[in-house]
Amino acid sequence: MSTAQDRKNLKPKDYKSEIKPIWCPGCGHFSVLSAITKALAHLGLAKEQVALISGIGCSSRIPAYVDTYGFHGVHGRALAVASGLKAARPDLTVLTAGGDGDGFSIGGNHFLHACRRNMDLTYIAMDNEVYGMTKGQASPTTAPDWSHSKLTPHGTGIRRFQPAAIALASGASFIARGFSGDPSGLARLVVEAIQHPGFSFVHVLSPCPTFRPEQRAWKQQVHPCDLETTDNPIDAAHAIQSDDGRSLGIFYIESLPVWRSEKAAQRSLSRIEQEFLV
Amino acid sequence: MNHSYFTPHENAVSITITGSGGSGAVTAGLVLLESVARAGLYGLMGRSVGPQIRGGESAAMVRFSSQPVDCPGDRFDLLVALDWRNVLRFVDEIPLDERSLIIADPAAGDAPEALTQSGAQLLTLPIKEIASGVKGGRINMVALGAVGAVCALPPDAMTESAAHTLAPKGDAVVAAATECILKGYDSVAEGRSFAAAPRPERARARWNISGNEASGLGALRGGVRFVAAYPITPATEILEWLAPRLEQLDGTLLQAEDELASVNMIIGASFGGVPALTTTSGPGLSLMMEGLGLAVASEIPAVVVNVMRGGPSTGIPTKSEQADLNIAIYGFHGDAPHLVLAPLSITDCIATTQWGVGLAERLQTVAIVLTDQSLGQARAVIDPPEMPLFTLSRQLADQPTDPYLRYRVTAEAVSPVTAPGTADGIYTGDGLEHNERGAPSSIAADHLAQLEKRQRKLEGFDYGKRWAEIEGEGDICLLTWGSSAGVVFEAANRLRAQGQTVRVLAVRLLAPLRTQILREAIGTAQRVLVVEQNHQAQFFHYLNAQQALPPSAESYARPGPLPIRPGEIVDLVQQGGDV
Amino acid sequence: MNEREQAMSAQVLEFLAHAQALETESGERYRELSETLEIHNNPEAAALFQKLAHYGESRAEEVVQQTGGMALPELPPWECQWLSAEGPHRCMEEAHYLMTPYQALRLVLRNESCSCNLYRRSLRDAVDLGVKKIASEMIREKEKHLEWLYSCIEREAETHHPPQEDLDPPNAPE
Repeated sequence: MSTAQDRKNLKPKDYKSEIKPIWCPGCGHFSVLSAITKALAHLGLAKEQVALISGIGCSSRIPAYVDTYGFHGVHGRALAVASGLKAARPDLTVLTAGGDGDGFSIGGNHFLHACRRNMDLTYIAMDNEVYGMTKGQASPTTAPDWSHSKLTPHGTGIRRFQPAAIALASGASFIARGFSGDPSGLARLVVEAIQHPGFSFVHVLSPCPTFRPEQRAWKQQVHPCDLETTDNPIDAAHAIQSDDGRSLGIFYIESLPVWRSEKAAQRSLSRIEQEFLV
Repeated sequence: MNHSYFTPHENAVSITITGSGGSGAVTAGLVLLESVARAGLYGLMGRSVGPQIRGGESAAMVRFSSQPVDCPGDRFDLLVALDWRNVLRFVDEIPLDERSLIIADPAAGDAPEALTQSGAQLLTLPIKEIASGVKGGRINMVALGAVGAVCALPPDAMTESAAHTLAPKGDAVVAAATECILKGYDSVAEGRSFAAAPRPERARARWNISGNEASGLGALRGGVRFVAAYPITPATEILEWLAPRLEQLDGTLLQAEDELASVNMIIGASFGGVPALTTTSGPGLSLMMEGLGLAVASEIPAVVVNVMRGGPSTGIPTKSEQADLNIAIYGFHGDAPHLVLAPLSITDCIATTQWGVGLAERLQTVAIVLTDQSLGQARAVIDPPEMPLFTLSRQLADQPTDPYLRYRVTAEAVSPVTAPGTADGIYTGDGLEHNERGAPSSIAADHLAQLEKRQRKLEGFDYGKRWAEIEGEGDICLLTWGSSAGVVFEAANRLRAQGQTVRVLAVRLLAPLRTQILREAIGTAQRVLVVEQNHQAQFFHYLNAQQALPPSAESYARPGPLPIRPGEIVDLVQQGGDV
Repeated sequence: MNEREQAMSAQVLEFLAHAQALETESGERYRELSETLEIHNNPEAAALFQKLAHYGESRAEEVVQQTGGMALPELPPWECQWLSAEGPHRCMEEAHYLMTPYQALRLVLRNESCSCNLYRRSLRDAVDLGVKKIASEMIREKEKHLEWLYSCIEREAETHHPPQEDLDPPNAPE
């Protein structure tokens, strides 16, 4: 076990593993990785007490790049793995990371219920509005008229999934949006998300230089959120719904009951077995 | 295990109590089963119900004996009808004959012809009238008293069982039940009791347990302390039984949003070092397959108890069938070695689930435990089971190598594993193919090394004698698996009583199949008959694919929902080779 | 209080903490670029960024050495204005797997110029003489580095051709 002093001396780069990212040069995910390691170093968390869980996709490769315990599972189920881990091991700091397809399409149901359940988890969704690992298809957050995928040559024609709004409606108790182009600001959001007791959702705009080169313009489009962080879901709903999807900051923090494993008066198994005696 | 599964059941009695709309047939069956236990006997209770959530028709079926009972009989000695509404639903499930007795109240109308044409005798009792003579009296308890008289069960055993079962309903209910039972008992004239009914014996410590409870207990005995739960008939009772008890054992039950979540939740908990299990039935198992493949690839111990029901699709959720063998064995994509086990009886649900958990932990893989509705939702009176002394647990890397090689290819192919919290054991578990360090790799040599490792750790393990129950020697070999074992053991005993030499092979460890030992166990039997309850002869084809059977082996595969009865097997064998 | 410690005013330490964060960030981003370009089979640009990573890391070391053993104030990244949206991570965003050493140098030039401008602003705005002194030393060092970058760019420009279009389709690794 590392001592508190050792941990204090850990630098962000100490939280990086020896495995090198396969992400394209120019990918926003590098900065998300940097923000996560900065946040872990700032909090001085013991590496072995942290677990980073993901599903499938470019961003879901991230656990291997962080020198904490990690699990790279199947597509869409990261939050389920993380929920099981946190329920069984409440002593751990459990982070979940993944992309827009993983979290909002195939994993959409788990997203809703992880928000509702309000376990003490942090979920970092790296949104580039495209499936990168499968060569650039439209994701739930892709604009309806984006027609650059062979699967949807006329655009999807369907409204975009609104991650922050859905999180709020589903009961998440911490909702923030960050931008990979501001890794320091993002590090602050991750720190606050980890410190928040309950389910913390950090929606990160993270451009894809390969399939969505036009996203380089996000840099000019992002802006701080107009409203102060609120604990009022109606105000938060107003802020999120009236927003252009490019505002950054913490929209909503509320203190809600956190899921925990209930314990009863302890009995031995042999005592329990007595129940079957006739 | 030296428990002999079956002895002849000349002295077994089968009773069914039917009724509808809150008549209390199932409660009467539960009290009857406990009465049997208090009379020093063994028993088995199954039930059959209509599709209604409340108020539907139901039948409680109890078979009891002075020997352990692990299957239904061929016929029923006694049918007690609390009313006749919708009883025809159960006609197929309640074979009667001219030796059977029907007890009914004339006030409920005439017995349906479909039942009386069996030649069964009819005993009429004024059940409703007797019940109305007792304040708060109920017809099911009157009928129960009558059953006790016909079966020569001690009245005390019945009233004590009623008091125990109904205690939560309050003293008034217990008092009324007691009076009804005694009046029902007295309503049966002397001399109407079955001559062949097993005589009560000195009461011994016995357990009254359902198969689903037994699976839950096996999980706890195996060390499971995390359970993810998504309800599905007929597996839900395992979860319901576990939920409060896990709280008492510092464990956790987490209700999931679907089976995709529940299987991934147990993977998360098990990655955290906590032995974990979930339960489901066919449709849920289909949803879990991808997650189970992940557990195989990432070598995370994970256990699923799959309580089989009639399939495919929604199928027949309340009835039993052994039709999920194919998905359990072949349902994975890729080459995914894993364990498939099947308990052979309600009692065996305890040890086999415990074994499954132990093996999954020891071998860092997936164990699918196949029980079914006929075990899960039935209750049995059994001898208190011993605690098997397995020394099967996860091999921990207390002092990890530097760098820690999570997927190191070791002599026995199991790689010691760390859990989060271990300072020098950090790794990333991965469903992507990986090298020994755990880093993703698509290199042919890494893939081959890890495929071989995952296979070798299962193939090379010494499973001991528990892989099957083998009984008897002979030219006839009855080969079966899972819940069909009970009926096959009973059939074999009857055949032996007729002078046939019979060997029974009831396989508990279905994958990896102990093919060589199985072949040796079949030996030179002249006639090999494979018995199972499904339509496609899944076990038979599996054994053939593994080249475990001689070419002359025959299949007896019959789907649910009707249970296979021992007489069917006896008849088959007696008919000779022309199956 | 000796002369050295006197020089280490709170303002100086704060300036050094900023400089250290900035140079560390540059070094780490160059290191990351070097690694990713190596993985993307662009050894020329990778080698260049490796060299620059080494430069950034030694600069960060030198900054720490200037404190004479005194601890720098804890500076969470989001409180370091020099790591704002225009910080060194911009190099990451504008990198491309086919980038030439010439393009890489242009990227680095812009980043290092930004850093130099931050030091110049400190020199201009600081009241503390200690800050002014260290800032001008760092500007001198940075200008030397920029000169070197210019010379490299000039040399590369002679043979520079923009990268050819990659005619292969992208892969689908998962």
